[in-house]
This record gives sequence, C-alpha cells and structure tokens, in this order.
Amino acid sequence: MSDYATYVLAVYAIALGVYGGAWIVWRREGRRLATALEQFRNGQEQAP
Amino acid sequence: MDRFLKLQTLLGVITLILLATGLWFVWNAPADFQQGGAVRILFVHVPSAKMALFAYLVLTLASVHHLWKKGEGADIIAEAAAPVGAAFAAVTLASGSIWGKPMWGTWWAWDARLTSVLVLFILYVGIIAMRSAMDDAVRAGRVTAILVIIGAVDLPIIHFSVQWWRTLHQPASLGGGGKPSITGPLLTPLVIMSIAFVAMGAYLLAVKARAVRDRRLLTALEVERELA
Repeated sequence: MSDYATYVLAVYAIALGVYGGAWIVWRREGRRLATALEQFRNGQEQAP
Repeated sequence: MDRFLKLQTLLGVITLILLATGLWFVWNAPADFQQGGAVRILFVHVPSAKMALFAYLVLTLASVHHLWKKGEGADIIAEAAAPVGAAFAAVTLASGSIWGKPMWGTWWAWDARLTSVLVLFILYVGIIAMRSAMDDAVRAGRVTAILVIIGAVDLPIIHFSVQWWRTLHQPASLGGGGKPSITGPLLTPLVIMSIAFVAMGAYLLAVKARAVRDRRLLTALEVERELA
C-alpha cells in the first residue's frame, strides 16, 4: 500500500466498524433473548 | 443444538474463511494503472453495493410472501433484512464517497446512481423506524410490507441509472450484463470478496433473524402468562 493509503484504511476501518459492530450488537441481543427465553420456559415448568 | 444456531455457526465459519481468503488477495493485488492503491476501496464498495440491493430484494420477496400468505416466518426475515441492508447501504455510501474524493475530486455529486443509493439507505431507515414506531406487531408487519413493496421501484432505478442517464459513476464492474470491465489479478479479489459478502450477509441475517424470532416468542409467552 502506498498511494491513497489513508483513504483505503479509512474504508476498511468503516467496514470493520459497521459490520463488526452490527455483528456484536445483534449477537449479544440474540444471546440475551435466548437466555431470557430459556429462563422463562424453566420458570413455567417449575410453576405449580 | 437449535437448528437455526447450527446454520448460523456454519455460515459464520464460511464467512470467516472467505473473508480471510479475499483479504489475502486484496493485500496482494497490484495497484491499478489509473487509480493506484485506491482500487482496493472497490473490493469493499462493489460487494457492499451488491449486497445492499440483494438485501432489499430479499426484503421485498419476504414482504410479498408475508402479505400474501400471512406467514410469520417471512415477516421475521423482513424485519431482520432491513437493518442488514441498511448496514450494507451505509458502507456503500461511505466507501463510494471516500473513493470519489481522490478519483473524482469530490466527496459527493447529485448523480443518478449516488442519489438512488442514498434513497435506498433512507428507505431502509424509514422501514426500520416505521416498524419500531408501531405497537401492534401484526399491523406493523403489514404496513411495513406495503412500504417495502412501493420502495422496490428504486431497485431497477439504481441498477439501470448508469445506462439511463449520463452519470459520473462508471458502469458496473461486475455483473452488469456483459464481460467484467476489470480482469486478471484485480478480478480475483473482487469475485472472492463478493462471494464472502454474500456469505456475510446471510450470516448477519441469520444472527438478526434469530434474535427477532426469540424476541417475538418471548413477547408471546409473556402475553400468554398474563392472560392465564
């Protein structure tokens, strides 16, 4: 990488931020919901 | 293990392998004789743009299916596809703008291709906002589906804008109907990155769709418990 390196790095950083950020946020959301769902089901099974 | 989770994991592994391979080819790609090193921006820009369009196509098909068959599965796909498409459209606009500054001498031009992609991004944001603004999930699904179908008119405008109007934006580098306008060592990373982005789009859709499905299930169970 020589010419336009700043522009190239900026684009790859933005792509990493957007796609990586989306992945982290949605994966966390999915894990939180899956745990909540499991806890809800377990709670229902234990309820009289 | 949940079948959905298995698919998601498989897609994640495929995406990682393809992205690593693609980035290796990007790193070793020669500089273009006109664009120099800036050609590397196109290995992110072109696949992102194709996926921004493809995600809207998925969104439209899911919306049509939801309106027609009233199935919840299609509505889950539609709800998940909108933010995935918005992410691809955002990167398309940002990378195009950053490429445009050294190549065209400007960050932005109100050119047909650029403007129609901006409209696509605004559509995605509008669709997400409209769905989240409604309390009634069934109504939100239907109203959003109608907006999605109306907005689909932007897809052919984006695709054919470089043919219909005199634009600053060049014709398609890949998949424009004819032979690719780039060849050899620059074509290989573009093709691999395009395939990697398809896998990444499918993976992100699976991750988001699983969260949407679980949220709806949880809400339904909570309502059921309150009624019991």
